[in-house]
Amino acid sequence: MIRYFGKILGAHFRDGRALYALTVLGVALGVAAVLAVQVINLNATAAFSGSIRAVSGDAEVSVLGATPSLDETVLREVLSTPGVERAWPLVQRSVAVSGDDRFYLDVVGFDLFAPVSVPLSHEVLPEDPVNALATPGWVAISPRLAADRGWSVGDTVVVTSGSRSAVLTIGTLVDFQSATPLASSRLVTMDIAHAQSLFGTVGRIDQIDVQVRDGVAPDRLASLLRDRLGPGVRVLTPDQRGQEAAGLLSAFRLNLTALSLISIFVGVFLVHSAAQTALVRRRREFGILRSLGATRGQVFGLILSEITLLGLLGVSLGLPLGLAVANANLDLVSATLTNLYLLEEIESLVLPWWIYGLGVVVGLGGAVAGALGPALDMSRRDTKSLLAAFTLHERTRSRAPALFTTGLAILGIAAVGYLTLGREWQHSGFALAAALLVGLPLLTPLLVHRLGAVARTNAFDWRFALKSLSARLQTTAFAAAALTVAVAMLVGITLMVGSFRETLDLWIADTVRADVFVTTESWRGETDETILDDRVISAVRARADVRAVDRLRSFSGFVGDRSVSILGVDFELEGGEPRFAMLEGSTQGVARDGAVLVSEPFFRKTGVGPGDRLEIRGPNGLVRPRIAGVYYDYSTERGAVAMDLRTMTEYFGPGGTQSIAVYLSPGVDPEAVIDELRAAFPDVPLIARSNSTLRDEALRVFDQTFAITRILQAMSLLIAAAGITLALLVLAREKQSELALYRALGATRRQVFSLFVGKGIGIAGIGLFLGGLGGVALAGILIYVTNRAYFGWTIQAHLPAFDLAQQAGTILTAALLASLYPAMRASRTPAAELSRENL
Amino acid sequence: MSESMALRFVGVSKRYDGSASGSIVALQPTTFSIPGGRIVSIVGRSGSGKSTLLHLAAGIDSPTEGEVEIAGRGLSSLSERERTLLRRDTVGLVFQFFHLLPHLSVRDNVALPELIAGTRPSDFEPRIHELLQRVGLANRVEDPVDRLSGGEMQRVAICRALLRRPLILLADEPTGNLDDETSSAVMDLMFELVDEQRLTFVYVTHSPEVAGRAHERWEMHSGTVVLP
Repeated sequence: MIRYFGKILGAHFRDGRALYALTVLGVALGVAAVLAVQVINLNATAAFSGSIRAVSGDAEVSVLGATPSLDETVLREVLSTPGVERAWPLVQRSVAVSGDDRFYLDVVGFDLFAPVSVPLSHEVLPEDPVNALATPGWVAISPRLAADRGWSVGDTVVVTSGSRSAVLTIGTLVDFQSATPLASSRLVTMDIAHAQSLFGTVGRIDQIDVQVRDGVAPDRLASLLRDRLGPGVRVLTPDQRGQEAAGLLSAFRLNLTALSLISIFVGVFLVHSAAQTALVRRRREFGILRSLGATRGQVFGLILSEITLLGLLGVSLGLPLGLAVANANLDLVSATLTNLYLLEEIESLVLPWWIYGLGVVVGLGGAVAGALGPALDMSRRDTKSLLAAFTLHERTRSRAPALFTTGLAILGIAAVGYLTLGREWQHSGFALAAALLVGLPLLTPLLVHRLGAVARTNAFDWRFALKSLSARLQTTAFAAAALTVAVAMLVGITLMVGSFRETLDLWIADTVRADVFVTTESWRGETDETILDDRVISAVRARADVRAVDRLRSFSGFVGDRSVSILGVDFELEGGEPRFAMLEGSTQGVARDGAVLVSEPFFRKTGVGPGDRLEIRGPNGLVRPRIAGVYYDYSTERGAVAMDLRTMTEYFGPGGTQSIAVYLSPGVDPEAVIDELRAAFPDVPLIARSNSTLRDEALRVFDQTFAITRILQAMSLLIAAAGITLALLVLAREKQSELALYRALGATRRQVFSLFVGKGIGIAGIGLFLGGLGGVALAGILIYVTNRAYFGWTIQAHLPAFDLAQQAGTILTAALLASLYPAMRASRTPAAELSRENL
Repeated sequence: MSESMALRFVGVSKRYDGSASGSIVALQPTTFSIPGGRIVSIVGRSGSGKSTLLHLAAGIDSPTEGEVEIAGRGLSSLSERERTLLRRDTVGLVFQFFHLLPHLSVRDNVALPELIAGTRPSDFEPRIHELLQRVGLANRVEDPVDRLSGGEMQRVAICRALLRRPLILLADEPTGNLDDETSSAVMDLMFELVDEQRLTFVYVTHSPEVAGRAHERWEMHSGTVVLP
């Protein structure tokens, strides 16, 4: 049988090139989608873990500030804790390169001469230590960073942290990546005292890394440190820190994974359809083999071997394609990680062996899953039925009502299950979406059949094409089903993203009312130390054309172990406007009572709301403010806590302002004010934006976040379009006699061409109709179930009519393009091809 | 001379290239003329070239050499599209296996040539009903064709061939898939309709009885037509 397999393989592949090519394409695109997403998901957390390893090396425990820096006196307490072998402080600061607010350096300050285990401490150690210490701003950078920026030893670089500028002198080049491959190329190391001095944080540190004494369990020491140091600090092992990042990204990663699985799901349809067609075409061959003594198992093995080979071909194309897609989207995903999650950006991809294994499993699994049904069916048939002519579409037609009922039952059970039991279950949205994407395709055979039944045949045009779709239900219904799934995904996500964007836009319009926003170049750091120069605030306040100035103090903090954004504003600002759109409760009394507001994502994820008390880790222990209300917030899914500035000072001590919102008198040009401000403070690194620019920037970040989603949508659509091509090629081949009849009866080539294009458009129409309905349902699930459960956002439903019309146009165009080649082949069918068999 | 001829072959031959054993001559150089209203039967063994001759006569295959003329128009000077349109307007075809579309009704199968020609339904509906009435299927108009018997299917195919009032009716073993009784009924019907409409009728058959009903009975041997 193996010899037979070898002999016939080439002949079959030559005979059905297009069929096999499309099968391989389906597998390749599915593998590429899954692989790209998994590579991105893996590297999103790997980048963070890598940066931890690069900075903390083999430290077994890290002590971190909760707000987020620490008083350096904590170091003494750590060192005096039994079980601590060594401990060393670190200062970490994300600084902007002056004049380029999009380029950040990750500065790590540590004691250059301390006998510590900071990675590369020996390499970083300067040859002339005295000179290094005597040179303020002496730093070590990686050769890659030097090459990227055109810097060399001895050069100086001006960086900013808050309103403070500092001059760094490149003292040496150290290849951090050689020891820690995932170390950021933007890593810059310097002496800790210099770092504190340059960035104005003398007496403050960001982290203490601890090496545990032999025989002491790190977890036990961590627990001891927690007890000793109190809730104002966080004590974590490197694994726990990695898990924190993974937890932060879990919803983001899960959603991408789900989307990529839809691609492989659509691919399985394609493989199924191709396998079905190929096997039906070869039924006589199997009949002959069986009559010559081949067992059912041998026939099944023969079919499965071919499919496995095709799957492997698909995998071999899908793997490089997936990596290319991941690489191409690296910048966009990195931007999302840094913008929304404050994590490290991905600079280079880590590709462990198992990720390739995953691609192979997904590709082969998808191919075998798609072909298993037809293969089992073919191998189980008796010899007589294999040798007899039979038409598969008739079986599908007879099964169409049962499939339709099953599809409806799946949808119904999912809906009832959700309404009765599933509302409290976080994953119910995925269960609903899965039921929708499984149930919908089952509706297509009956719909295609009914459409054929009601279509009038008063002309040899698109109506005739629709009528003839029902003639080969097995082929056309599968193509329509695959397209239905792809369209449902496309429309569902477009509706969700469009609604989200509109909601965001409205929220910005409602809550961001000031005319000008001023912050520093290093505003992304979310630390209490990157502050705006008071001189700038005073100067703005003093302007006659300014109605009010709203100050914002913000930093990362912790409620329990949950990282949140902590915001302080003046709730009793005169001349300002409401900045919080409330979901529940009110802002009344927040300023006087020491109460706080929590953001909607925080509220939905924790269930802690109005009337409850929060437990926020402060520098002096836990603070327990009352929650006065919940406000809509789309700036971070981590969750945020907002309070009055005076309350903030009371809880967290005095601090500076990170940014200000300026309300101008009516008629004053914001851009003119911005220009004057920049001119007045040429040496202060300011970022000033008008209301409209800020809005545009927010929407740009939003669009960036969903860019990867669009790639996945496009891949699914491409697979579905390949499904249309496949279906029409099959029709062109299987219905050669019918086409020859049309030609014999006087149909011109153009008419046959148009007929086939009409079939393609007909399949697209069914896919659009059913997929459109499914898409609306999917959007409902994404908006009202999944988003609330995973991200905690309320999204107002909105119909992005232009986007949807554009997509409908794209789908029809894709269907048209997918139909051209088969239509061309069909139109070339000569009338002489009329076989002696019946049609 | 050719103007009064419905079908004319002048030195027409057909050779198929590409087989391992070289080219196969399906039709030796052949010359004949069939005037309008004439009925010709062609008999011969399988592979003798009967169907090739019929395909060449219908213009659905092109000769290797020679000229085929339908209603006085030489096919070699026509473009592929012009040949198609000429066939649509002048030739009716009936096949052994009926070649009806299973997903269409009786009415829709008969209407197919007019649909292809782009005629408005109101212009050909009366003709469909007239033909179906004539062949005894007026009460089966909306039935799917797969519910019909073999004889009924062939009657539908005959209606389809005659719908556009062709000049020539070509039939490739029209009774080859029917039992004797049904064959006889179908041929009776065809002869009646051909007579009524004064068509040129060329048909291929294996049956000596059926062949004997034509004005002329031709035989074919190894691609050669033996005229009486």
